[in-house]
Amino acid sequence: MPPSKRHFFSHLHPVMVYRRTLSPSTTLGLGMACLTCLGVLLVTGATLFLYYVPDTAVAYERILHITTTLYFGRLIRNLHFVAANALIVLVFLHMARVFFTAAYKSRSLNWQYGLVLLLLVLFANFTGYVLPWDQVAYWATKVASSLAEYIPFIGNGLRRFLLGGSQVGVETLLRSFAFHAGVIPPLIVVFTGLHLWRIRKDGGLASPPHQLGDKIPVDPWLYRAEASVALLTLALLLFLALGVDAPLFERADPNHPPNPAKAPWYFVGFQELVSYSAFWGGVAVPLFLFIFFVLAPYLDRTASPPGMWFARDRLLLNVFFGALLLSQVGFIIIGQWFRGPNWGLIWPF
Amino acid sequence: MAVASLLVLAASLLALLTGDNHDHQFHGTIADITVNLGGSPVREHCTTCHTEGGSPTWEGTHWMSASHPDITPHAPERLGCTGCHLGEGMAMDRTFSHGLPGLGGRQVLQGQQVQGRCYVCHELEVLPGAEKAWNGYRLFRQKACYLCHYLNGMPEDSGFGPDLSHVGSQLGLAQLEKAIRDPRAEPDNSTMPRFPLSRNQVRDLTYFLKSRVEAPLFTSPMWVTAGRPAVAVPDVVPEDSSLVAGERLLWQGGCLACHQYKEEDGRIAPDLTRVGKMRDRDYLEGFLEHPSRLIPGAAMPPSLLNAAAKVELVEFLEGSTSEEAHHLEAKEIYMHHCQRCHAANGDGKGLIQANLAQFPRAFLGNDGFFRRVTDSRLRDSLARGISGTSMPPYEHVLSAKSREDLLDLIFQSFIGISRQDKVEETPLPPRPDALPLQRAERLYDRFCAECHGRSGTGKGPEASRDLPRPRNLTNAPFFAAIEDERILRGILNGVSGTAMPAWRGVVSDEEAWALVEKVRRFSGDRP
Repeated sequence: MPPSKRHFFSHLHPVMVYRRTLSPSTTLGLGMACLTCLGVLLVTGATLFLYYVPDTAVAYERILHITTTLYFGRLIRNLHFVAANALIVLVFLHMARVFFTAAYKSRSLNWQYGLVLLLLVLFANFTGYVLPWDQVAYWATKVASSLAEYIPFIGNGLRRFLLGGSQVGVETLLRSFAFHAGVIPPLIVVFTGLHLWRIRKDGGLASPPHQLGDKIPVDPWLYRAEASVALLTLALLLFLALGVDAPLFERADPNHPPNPAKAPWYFVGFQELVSYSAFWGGVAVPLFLFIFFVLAPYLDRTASPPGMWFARDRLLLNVFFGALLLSQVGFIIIGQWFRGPNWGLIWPF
Repeated sequence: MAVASLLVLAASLLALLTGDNHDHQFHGTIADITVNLGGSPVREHCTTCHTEGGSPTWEGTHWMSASHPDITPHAPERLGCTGCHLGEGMAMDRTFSHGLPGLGGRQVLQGQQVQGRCYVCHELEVLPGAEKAWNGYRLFRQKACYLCHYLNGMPEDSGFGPDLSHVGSQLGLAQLEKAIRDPRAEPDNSTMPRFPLSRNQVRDLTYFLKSRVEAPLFTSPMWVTAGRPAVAVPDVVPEDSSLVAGERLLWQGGCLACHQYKEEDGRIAPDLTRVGKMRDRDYLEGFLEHPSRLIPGAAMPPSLLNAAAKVELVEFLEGSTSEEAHHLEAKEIYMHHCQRCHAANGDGKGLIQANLAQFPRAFLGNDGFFRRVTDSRLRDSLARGISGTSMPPYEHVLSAKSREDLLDLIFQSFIGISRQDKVEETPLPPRPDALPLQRAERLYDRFCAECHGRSGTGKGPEASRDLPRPRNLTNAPFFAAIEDERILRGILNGVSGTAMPAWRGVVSDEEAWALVEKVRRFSGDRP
C-alpha cells in the first residue's frame, strides 16, 4: 500500500480481510450500527452539553429552551433520544448475534469488554433519563433506583450512591449529569477502542476454518461496507428523529406520582418481575442473567467452530439464550403496555 | 453504499428543511425579557408571539396581537407575563408554552382565570378584580374546608386531610375542579365528601386554591417560617339577630357546613336537631374531641372549637327543645328520622350514605337479613342505637308505640314480609376449651384478609368491591356491644344482604370459635 493512502482508520483495520467478513449475514452489521449510534450520541450530546444546566430549578426550562427556541434544537434532542434507545436495542441484538454464532469462543476477553460496554450503555441511558427533570423522568428514576435496592448487601448503598441521598433531588440531577456527560462517555470510548482492538488481535471476525476463503484488501471493500452500514443507520436515525419527538412531560412534581409510575422501558421487565416476587425479579433473575452472561464463554463446551450461525450441537444453549431474551422482551411488553393504575392489567387497545 | 449515501443526503436535506421547528422569519428575533418577580429573575419569551400582550394572530407576513387590557396600577412590562398567566415562559412552541397536559400546575390562565394568581402577590383581603377568588376564600371558610385541610397562614391546623398550602403550584384549575366535584375519583378510598356546590362556587374555590403556592411573592422566607402572613378570617355567621349563642357556635364551628340543624342543611352528615336528646353529654363531648373513637372510620374531623365553646355547644344541643307539634304517623317519622341515611325507598343509599363509616342497613329487597334477625334485636337497635355506628338511640325521641309502628311500616313497605316471619337457625356449636389459635391466624390470612384486611380495618384489597363494605373488625364500641355467639353466627352462617358468605363446612367449629377470638383481639374489648 502506498504511504499516501494511510490514514487514521488504517490503525484499526488490517490490510486484508477474508471475503466472508464482508458478507452481510456474517455480522448483520450490528456492531457498526452500534458504533454509529455512539458517534451520533457523542456529537449530539456535546451539542446539548452546551445548553443544559443540571439544576432542578432550571433544568426543565433549559430543555424547553433547547427544544423550542434553538435552531435545530428539537432535532438534536430527538436524535440524541432516538440514538440512545436504538443503541440499547442494537447492543442486545449485537450480543445475541455473537451468542448465536458462538463468536465468543476463544475470544472470551472481548465478550467481557462487550459486557462492560453493555452495562455502561445501560448506565448512560439511565443517568440521561432523569436530566429533563419532568414528571416521567423523575418518577422513572425513583422507581428504577428503588429496584436497585433489591440487590442484596450493596443495594441500599448503591441506591444512595446513585441518588446522592435517599431521595431523587438536586444531588441526583447533578451526579446523573456528571456520570452521563463526564464519566461514562470517556469510559465507553475507551472500552469501545479495546473492543475493536481485540477484534484485530484475535485475528478478525471469528469464522470456521473451512469457510475462510480468499482474502481481499480492506481498502476499499471493508471501508465501503462499513460506511454503508453507518450511513444507513444514520439515515434511519435522522428519519426517526424527524418523525419521533423525544418525550417531555410536565415539570417534575415530587408530591404527585403518576399512577402507575414506570421505570425506563429497558428496566420495566424487571419491574414487572418484581410485581410478582421481589426476590425473583429484584435479585435472582438479574443476578442469574449477569452471571450467565459473564460465564457463557467458559460454560460453552461445544465442539463446533466459532462463527457459525445456530451450530447444531449448541441447540440447547441457543434455545436457552433465546428464551431468556424473549422472556425479557415479553415482560417489558407486558409492563410497558399492559399495566395500568396500581399495576393492574389493562388492555391497551 | 451509493444508496446509503443518497438516503443520508435525503434525510439531511429533509432535516435542514423541516427540522428547524419554528418560524424565525416572522419577527427576526426572539423576544427575550427578564423581569424581577418577588426577588428572583424570571426569563420569558412570551412576547415573541404575544407582541402587544394580547392574543396573537398571523396577518400577512407578521405576527400581530391585540394590546393587553389596562391593568393599572400594574404595568405588564414590569410584571412580565408568567407571574400572572403562568405557562412556560421559556418555550416558544404553543403546546409547551401553554402548559403540557397532566397535573396542570403551570397551565396558562386566561381572562378571568387570572384571578387565580392575585393572592399570590396580595395578602388575602377584599381586592377589586379578584372578587371570585375572594368569594372562593369565603366559601373555603363557609364550607369549613379548613376543618380538614391546612393552609399556610390560617389560624387552624387540624392535620386531618391533605395540606393544601402549595396546591396551586401543583394542580391546574381543571384538576382542582375535578378534585372538588368528584373527590373519590382519585384516589377511590378518599373520605372527602362531595359537597353540594354550584358550578360557579366550585370555580371560585379553584381560583382561590390556585393562589396557594409554594413561594407567595409578597413574603420573605422568614415571614413564612414565622407563620406570617396570618390571614383575615371572614365571619361566616349569617347576620340574623334571632340566632342564639349556641346556634352561632354551630356556624362558627363549621358544623353546619355538613350537618343539618333544623332548616339549615349541609347535606353531608347526620341531623343534629335532636342529637342532644338522643346522646348523653359525655358522648357528645367525647365525639367532638375524637369522633373516630366513638364511630371508627367516621369522616368527621375533630372539632377545632376551644374547650369552653365545646361545652357551650353541647349544653345548647342538650337544651335545644324541638318537640313535635303533634303525634306523627310512622310514615312521617321515617321521612323525618330515617330516610337521610336509609333512603326514602329503603335501599340504604340515602342522601348522606356515602359519607358514613358504615353502610346503613338496606330494607328494600333485604328480607333474607331480616328473616334471620330476632325482633327483639331490631327493637333494641331502634331504641338504643347501634354503638360504633351513626345509628343513634331513639328511645328518648320516639315513644315505644311510635317505634313499634315504625318497625311495622318498614316491614310492610320495604322488606315485604311479616315481622314474625323468621327462619329456624341451625344451633351454634358450644365453645371448646382449647382454641386452635395458630390455625385461625392462617385461616384469617387466607379467607378473611382479602376483604377485612390484614389488620382487620375492613379495608382489604377487595373491600371496595361490595356495598355494604366489609365490617371494620377494629370497631371496639361495636364489638363491645355484641356477644360472641353473634360473631360466630356471622362467620358460620354468613350475613344475608352483604358479601359475607357462610363459612360452615369450610372451617371447623373449633376454628370458627378461634376466629371469633381473633376478631375479639382486633376489637380489643369483650362484652
